[in-house]
Amino acid sequence: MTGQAIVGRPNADGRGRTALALVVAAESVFFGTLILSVLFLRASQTGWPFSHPSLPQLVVPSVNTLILILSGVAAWGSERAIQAGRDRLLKLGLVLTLVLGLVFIAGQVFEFTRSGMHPSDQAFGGVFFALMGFHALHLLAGMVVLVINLARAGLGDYTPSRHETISLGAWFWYFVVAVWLVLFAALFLV
Amino acid sequence: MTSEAWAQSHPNASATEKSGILGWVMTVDHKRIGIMYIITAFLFFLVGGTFALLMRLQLAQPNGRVLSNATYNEIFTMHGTTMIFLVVMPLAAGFGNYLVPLMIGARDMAFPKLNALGYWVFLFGGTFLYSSFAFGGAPDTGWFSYAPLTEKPFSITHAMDFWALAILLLGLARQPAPSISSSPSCS
Amino acid sequence: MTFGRLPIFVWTILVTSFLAVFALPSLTTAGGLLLLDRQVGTHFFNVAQGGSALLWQHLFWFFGHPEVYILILPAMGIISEIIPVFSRQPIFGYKAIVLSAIAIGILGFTVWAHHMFATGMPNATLAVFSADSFLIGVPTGIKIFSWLGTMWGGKLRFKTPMLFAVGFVALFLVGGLDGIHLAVIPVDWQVTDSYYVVAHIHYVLFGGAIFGLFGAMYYWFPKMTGRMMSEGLGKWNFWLMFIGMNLVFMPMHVLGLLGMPRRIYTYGDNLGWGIWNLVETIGAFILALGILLFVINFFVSLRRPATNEADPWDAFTLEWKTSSPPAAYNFAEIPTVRSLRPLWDEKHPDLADWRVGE
Repeated sequence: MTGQAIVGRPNADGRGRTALALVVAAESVFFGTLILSVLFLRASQTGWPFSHPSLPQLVVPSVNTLILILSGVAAWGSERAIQAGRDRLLKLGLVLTLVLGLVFIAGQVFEFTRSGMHPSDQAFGGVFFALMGFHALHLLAGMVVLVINLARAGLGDYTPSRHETISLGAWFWYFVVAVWLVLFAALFLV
Repeated sequence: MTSEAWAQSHPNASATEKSGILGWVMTVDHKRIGIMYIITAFLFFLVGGTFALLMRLQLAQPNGRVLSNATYNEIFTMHGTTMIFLVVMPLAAGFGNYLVPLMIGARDMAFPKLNALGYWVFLFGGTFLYSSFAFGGAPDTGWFSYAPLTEKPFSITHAMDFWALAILLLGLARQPAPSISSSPSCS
Repeated sequence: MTFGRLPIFVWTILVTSFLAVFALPSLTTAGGLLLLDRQVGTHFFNVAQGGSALLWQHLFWFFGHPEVYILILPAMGIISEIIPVFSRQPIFGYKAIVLSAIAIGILGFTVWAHHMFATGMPNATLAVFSADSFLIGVPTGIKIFSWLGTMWGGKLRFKTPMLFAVGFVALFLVGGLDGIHLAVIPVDWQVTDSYYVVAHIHYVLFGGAIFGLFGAMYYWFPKMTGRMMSEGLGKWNFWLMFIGMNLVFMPMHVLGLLGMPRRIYTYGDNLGWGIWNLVETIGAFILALGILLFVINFFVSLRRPATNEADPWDAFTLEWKTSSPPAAYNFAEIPTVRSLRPLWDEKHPDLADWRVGE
């Protein structure tokens, strides 16, 4: 171990992946403490002012979840595309990921306003607002990365052997999708 | 890699830093960043220490009249918050920054620009926290700010918002920088 | 360089970094939810609307406890560098110190509720956290034995960095023992939120972290600036700080047991607390004088002509191989490291550490 970077291939020693792993670890603890806070509040109340949404009410959130999963697939597709040298498919994948992500966020806003809940409605309104809001913020951060990646793809920066930031961006996106799956379970199913 | 090979592949690199103030402001060299952390943290140490002396003056005798009750609350809150977030943590970050690459035989940290950003966010966060004195009063609920004392009906000035935002800034942005920067350079 | 040859300071920074990654997000959650409560009107911590005041404490202390290890571990690393050099011996029990640092890091996440013993948690919870808080004293004790073992039989040089390092060991020991007292639930119930706790935190944070960091400043100032700090001023600095510090914080144990709560702005004159407080204030000014001497020492030393000595302390680790101050690129050629004390190996090839056992 000598601590040198290999000249000309800035991420070849895997430092980007280590950094991403640490960011994912920190954000996992963040969302973990958020979810545990929700469960704690629930456990400390005699009557949690909220019962399971019945099936029709779960439709919009479930469809939204599927859209987000699809966006993850698009991100995966973009990574596979550049590995095979298919530059146009890479850009298509990135655009699709972004669009589906935006649709998801729109769906979240729609769901929240339609439900008539307000953040200051007892603890539960705040819980919903906070969880969905923080998640959306992370999604937006991921989108910023994707937009930068898209711009660089447009400039022809990526090759099959050199596309580390595409992979890193995709992995962060998978993380945010995975967090939503856990949040969905915690908010709607448990 | 030998130094000649490295120099050949980095024709624009210079062996020295830019001179003057601009050199320090724009630096991404871990040694300079380390020194900036240490000096800034030490200045905060002197401020936090002054607060401690004020508290001790107030408590030296019963029914002391050096500080009012409200001011005393602000002083002990800022003393604690300063010493923990603006003194000990940055001093450690400063020494870590300066020494870790040297101790392992490396040229710099893994992410020099992120490292530099960490210092500037620290400076901004500390300044932001102290600006609360000028904007309606410093936080006064203790450095661990127990709720619900810190909530709206009980703490109506913006002091707690300054505290929470400063803590978020100092924690969020400063924490990834040294931690992410230091670990990869071991490999 | 391999992981098994890293200087202990590097190990403690590594553990501290991991602690920061896993602990600070909890504070982010707490602060974020507080801001939402205050600005958007949510009710996370508002009991009347279904929130919980205890939630804040759990979120904060889940961060807060690892935070205190974040504060102390680097200082422990610093004195693990200073003590061997000024005892002319390698660190005693390298593996033990490294493993105990990792243990402190991991265990640090399991004791947070010992800051909440007086909140009415069930007895089973209290027992678990109390036991765990005792347990966490073990790796710290191991470190103290290591440092003492390093000094044992060594050729001790009590230059200013070493004074601060030994001061750290003594003062941190007092603070650590205070902590063990507080782990005993009935004791904690008696002295919680009193000056006893203030005594504890200041012995470990001032006597511990700050003394360690002052030692670091004296030790590495020559490397950073190419000049030595004045030994004479340094000794005055140390002793004024040491005496002042004990005058301020030792009586706080008494005050805590006498019932003086923390965070009160004044107190009555019929309680017998006045004399202790007065002694503490005098001590505080002695301490401040010591710190002033440090500032003077700093400026006086900077004005001396530079000697640019690379290795003025005859030390063991790689940073002393570079010039003082180091070049911007640190090392012209990346060095090869064959043991824990690469510089010792270079200076004494026949007695090199990697030869031990040959």
